[in-house]
Amino acid sequence: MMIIDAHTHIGVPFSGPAATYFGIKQGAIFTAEDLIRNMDRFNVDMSVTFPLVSPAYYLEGWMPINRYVADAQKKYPDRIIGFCWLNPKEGRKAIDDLETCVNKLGLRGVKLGPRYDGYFANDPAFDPFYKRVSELGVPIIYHSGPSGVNSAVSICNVADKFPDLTIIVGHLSVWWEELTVTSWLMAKYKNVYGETSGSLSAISIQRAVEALGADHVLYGTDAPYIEVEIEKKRVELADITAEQRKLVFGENTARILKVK
Amino acid sequence: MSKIIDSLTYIGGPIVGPDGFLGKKKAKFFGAEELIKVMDDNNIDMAVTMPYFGDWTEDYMPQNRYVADAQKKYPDRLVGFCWLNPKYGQKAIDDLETCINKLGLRGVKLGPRYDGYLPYGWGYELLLNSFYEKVSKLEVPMIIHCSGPSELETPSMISIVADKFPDIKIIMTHCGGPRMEIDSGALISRFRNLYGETSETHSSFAIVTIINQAGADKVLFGSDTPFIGPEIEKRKLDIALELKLITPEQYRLVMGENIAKILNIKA
Repeated sequence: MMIIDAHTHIGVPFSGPAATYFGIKQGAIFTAEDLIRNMDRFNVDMSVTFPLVSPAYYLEGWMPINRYVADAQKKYPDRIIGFCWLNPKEGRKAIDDLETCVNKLGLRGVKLGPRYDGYFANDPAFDPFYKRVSELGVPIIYHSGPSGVNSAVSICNVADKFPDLTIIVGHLSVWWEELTVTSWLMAKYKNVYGETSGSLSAISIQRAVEALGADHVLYGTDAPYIEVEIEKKRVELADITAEQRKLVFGENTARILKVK
Repeated sequence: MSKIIDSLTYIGGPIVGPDGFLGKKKAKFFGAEELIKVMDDNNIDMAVTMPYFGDWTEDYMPQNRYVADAQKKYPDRLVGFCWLNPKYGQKAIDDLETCINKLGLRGVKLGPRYDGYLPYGWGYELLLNSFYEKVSKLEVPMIIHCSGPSELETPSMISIVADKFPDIKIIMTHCGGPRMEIDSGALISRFRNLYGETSETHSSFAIVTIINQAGADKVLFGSDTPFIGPEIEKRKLDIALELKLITPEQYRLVMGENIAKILNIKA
């Protein structure tokens, strides 16, 4: 069974107990090689990866790490699918950076973190940005959670306005209420997918598969923030069919990103 | 190794809601026998167990009786807590007395978001203070549900109860919920009678963060069975031990010694 992890991060210094788990020195950069070593350790075929959040990098913007991710994708084309992290608050610059990332650097999707960059996902000021992403035909994966700035509700508002835009709701928007209420809302949009990292239980996965359909749920780990084996275990324990599990573990992401 | 004691499990209720909380496939009864099997499969010696939050149609007493019976049937494996709705005023206080003194239950669980009140503030304290006084007098621990950003139960509101009623040992479920470890770690470290239960936390790394901040003697392993289960929740603590992120001594405290001390049982 092909396993594609739809949510990983690389490229900036990383520390804390999770650094020990992923086998890097405290404060060392979590590199593409570190990611691949851990993919091998947990039998992951490919990973979608984008920059790690780091306060230090807010000063320089996201482009230096986006370039790092693009280089990693070039170096490991069979293992790494690179997404860029952009801040739509930067207006015209964000759209220019988007063009650079997709058309020149070859990155294949966009990661947005409203709570990290400080904006509402559905701010109408970003409509030109979303329009351009939609025209370029690449997906957006959002950090999502109960904070209003990136709740599933505000993300679904974007999905509603841009039906051709493929939207992945990271972490299934987490928490039990979010899971029940927002799976209902997310299910109304064919262009909205749920990604499993940081969700609570095998039941979270079952519920998402029931609500969104097995073809709309993507396995992700959020490495290096969460233990890969815990994320994997939730999907393994979920009461879904083997066919559904194959879709979740990799086939859906492969289809969305046109990976062979 | 001392006993492994799971501080948060549920039994004995019908699963309610339009499709059943657990989804169509899992909408079935989960009772004492099912819980014991999960414990056996995961090498858990004892579990604190309480009713599902499921039945809003009347009070919790029928389910509390089920839990008391289960405790009687499996005294070496199960420690029963009652779930009560303090909004019932004097009836809740009377029920508490029945649960502890007659049914032999050994603690109380509150679920503010499920029963629709705040554990403190907005005037609810006028209703709840006499309930808390009774809990304090009966000298039993109180588990208060807390999972993420509900307006009805925040780590801070629970901390006020801990501050006002220093003789009640208060266990905050889920250490406040995923990604709440910064808030809950700070508060659990501040109040000596406030403890955090580990299920639903973001990762083993989040649990380690809370242990480092609040102390291993303030953190209790819980699995949230049947909603999450030890395959996920116990594994988080095992990873922390294997990677030496916590010491064997800290592991033993979190996995059973702390709750044993709170409940006066042999670890």
